[in-house]
Amino acid sequence: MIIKWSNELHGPAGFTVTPEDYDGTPRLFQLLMDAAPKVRHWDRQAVAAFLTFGKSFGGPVTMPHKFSPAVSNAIKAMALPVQLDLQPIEYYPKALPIGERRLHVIVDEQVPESLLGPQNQRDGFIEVLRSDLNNGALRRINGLTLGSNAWVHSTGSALESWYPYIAVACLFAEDLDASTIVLPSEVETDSPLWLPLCNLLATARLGLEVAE
Amino acid sequence: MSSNIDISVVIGFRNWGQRRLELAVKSILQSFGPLKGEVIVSDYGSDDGQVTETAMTSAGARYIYTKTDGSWSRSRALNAGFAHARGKILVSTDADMVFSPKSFQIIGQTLLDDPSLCLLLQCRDLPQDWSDLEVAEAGFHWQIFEAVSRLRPRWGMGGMMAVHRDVYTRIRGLDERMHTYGGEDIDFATRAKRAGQRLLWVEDPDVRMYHMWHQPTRAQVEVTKEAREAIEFNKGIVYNDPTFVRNTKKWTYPLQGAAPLVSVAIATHNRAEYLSESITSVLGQTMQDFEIVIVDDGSTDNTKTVVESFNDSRIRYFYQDQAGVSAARNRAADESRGVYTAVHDDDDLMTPWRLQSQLDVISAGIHGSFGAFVNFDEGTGALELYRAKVFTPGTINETGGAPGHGTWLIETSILKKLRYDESLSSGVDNNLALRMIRSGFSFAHCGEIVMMRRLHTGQITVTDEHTQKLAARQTRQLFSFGTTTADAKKMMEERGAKDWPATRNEENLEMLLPYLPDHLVNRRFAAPQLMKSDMTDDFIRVEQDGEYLGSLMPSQTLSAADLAKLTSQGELVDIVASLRDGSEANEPGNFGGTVQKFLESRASQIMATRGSAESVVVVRLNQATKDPGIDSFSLVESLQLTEKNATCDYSFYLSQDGGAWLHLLTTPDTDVHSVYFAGDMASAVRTASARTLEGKNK
Repeated sequence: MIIKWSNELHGPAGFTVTPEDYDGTPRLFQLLMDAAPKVRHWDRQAVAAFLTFGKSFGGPVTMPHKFSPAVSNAIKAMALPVQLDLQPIEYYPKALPIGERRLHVIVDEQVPESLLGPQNQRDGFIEVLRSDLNNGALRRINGLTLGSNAWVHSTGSALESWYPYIAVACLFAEDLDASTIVLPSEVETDSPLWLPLCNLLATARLGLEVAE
Repeated sequence: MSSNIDISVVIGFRNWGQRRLELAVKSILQSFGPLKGEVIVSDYGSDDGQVTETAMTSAGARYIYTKTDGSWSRSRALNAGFAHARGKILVSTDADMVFSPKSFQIIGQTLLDDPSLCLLLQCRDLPQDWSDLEVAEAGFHWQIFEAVSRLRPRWGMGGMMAVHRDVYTRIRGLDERMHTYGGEDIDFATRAKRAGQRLLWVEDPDVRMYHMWHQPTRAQVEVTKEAREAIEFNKGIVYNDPTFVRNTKKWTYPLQGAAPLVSVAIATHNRAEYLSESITSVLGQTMQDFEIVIVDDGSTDNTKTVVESFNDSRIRYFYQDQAGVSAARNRAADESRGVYTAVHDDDDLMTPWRLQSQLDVISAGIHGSFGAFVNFDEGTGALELYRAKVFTPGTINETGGAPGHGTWLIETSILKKLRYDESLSSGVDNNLALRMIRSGFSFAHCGEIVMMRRLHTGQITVTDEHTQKLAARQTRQLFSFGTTTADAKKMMEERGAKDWPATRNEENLEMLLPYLPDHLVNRRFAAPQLMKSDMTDDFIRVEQDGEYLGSLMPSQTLSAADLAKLTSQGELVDIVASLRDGSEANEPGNFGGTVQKFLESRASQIMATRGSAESVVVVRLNQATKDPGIDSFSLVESLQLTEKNATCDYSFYLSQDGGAWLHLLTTPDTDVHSVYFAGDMASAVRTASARTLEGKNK
């Protein structure tokens, strides 16, 4: 799979992929968002690409930019039994983003008042709306609302259905000063996929929790 | 399909040794572990009597025999077996393979855990001293097999493939066009990949497939011209056909419980007068694997009666209190079982090739297709073409318009997920189209005129034009909200001729006349036609060497319903049609003229295919005088025509010498019916009637 970052002329930005010989054909060839992150860390970009298109990866995978061996290893572990050959790998140590906030992922529900009128700057949010019904983005001091087709990518098991939304949160985490992604309380953490997912995000210096 | 079988393994064969099969079955049955598995032995027309149902049943397999015409097709053999499979995981393999003890336990569990995979296994060849005879005598010695076997030199996909049942259903099995063998596995795996599966070659020491040695068969098969051609034909499919949904025209051995390929969705309200013609046009499709879902949105006319009059189990009728066009279309999507939905309006007509041509352009990453349409005037039949341009953000930016709604063929799952906006009373199709593009879906132009849109006074577009334009305007605003002026300008600069794919027959709309409603056109066969159709039983029956070729249709008039019956057989017949106020004469045919015209047409075909032929002589032979005593002439074809219990043989003799037919006239027991001349007279074949010839003979 060849993954590129693109800014579409009609507005949205995001990943565009080209499947190769050993890949499955993904449901969609693009993850589109109505805003582009101001800063994209390549490790988090690789994590986001895997979370969105990983179910179609097979064999060689080329990310848009160099990323760390730790992220590569975590992706490979999650992809088993499918063997991946990830590239390009950055072997020269690079700084990772530092964040402070807990970034709540909001999908299909109202943003809670506690997040819209925060008493502190510890909690932020990213609200991901259906791009077929919404267009544009709204930035607040502690949050971002944006349209995206992440909802179309959302398939699979209960936890896997959150992967595309986590991918969007991962891409905007640095802009929003986040160090932890917080999923809604109904997300079950007893899935066998939970720990590998936490491990994957940890390699990009992000934590993962569910709201209390 | 509900079943507690986890995995079904299918072996397809013809004229193959029973001992090998027993060994293969035994090894597979021993390898299921805790999974519930079945082995299906699909005997595709064996005539050597080596394999018996009793033996296969005793071995623990299910035995399926399919009668054939004697030709071998590995694809069809496997499909014939899969048609009876009950497992969640479906596996194909061959009759000369044995599997190590945990093989299918691991293969099955891997796919049950992750249905997004397509598993493949490389074959290990056992040496010459391990044929099925030695394996049967010595038993399964897996450690020895591992030590002495070697990977097959030709690295590839053959031997074993496993996918989830849903995947097999989606791509509709192996391609039944494929002859003999060669290329089926790579074709199937490639299509599974296009449909979304990742290919995974199993590399696990506990999963091994060993090939029992036998004399190579490929070399024997390849020596025949037919077999070499078959293998080349198969390669052509593998390398040149980019689609992944196959057997669209006909799936001879469908999986039990497989949903129809297409749901034709019709939302209707008080349009009984048009609905019958609309449904008839669907029934006439050259691709017949569909259901018609009709949602009656509170009609007060005889809509239900019209639907029931078709008495076709593929038509499913749903009544609801009037809730509006969006709600009705959403209901249709909810009720649809087809993988794809073809949107069809209750007052419009499909061209017969619509579904087939739209399916033919769906390849990897394409979620649906559309095409051009014509408007036809309900009063006069006048046609006006509406070409379709490609459907992208760029073309939306240019005009905001979407392809004609009645030309959509899209994945049903998309309709179920996005749904029509029920807050809109009009313009809902345009709204949904732009939302699909915003969501990242892609659609292909099929290059055909696929729909005939009826212009009449009761259309939504006429009665609700203001609302429709408002909805269209706001939908476009929503779509382009994030587009900058500069980027909009760039997109405009990219527009051009490439946005308008060529459409077949766009310069020849007259060829659509036969498909207009009966009240607008006269239509008849252009020439006598040989048709294999139930409706032709009353006509002249034509046989060749005892084989039924078809029934001879005279140049008679026929209705739209008659025509639909013919096109539904997959044939686009040669029809002459004209508007009722036009000049084309409506000539009822008669049987005598039909035979004459048919023979003339057949002779012309023979001369056309044999360019050097000077003439073709048609000789009529009476039943009592089968031996004409004219073997020295070149017999091309013999046909037997039966009309109203009277049977007559006609033979076509090729005569390189323009005068040779005269010899036939003097041959005893023959009756020269007619002579057709080619060469300089090819443009106007001249027929000499038997009566004239008889006169000269005297």
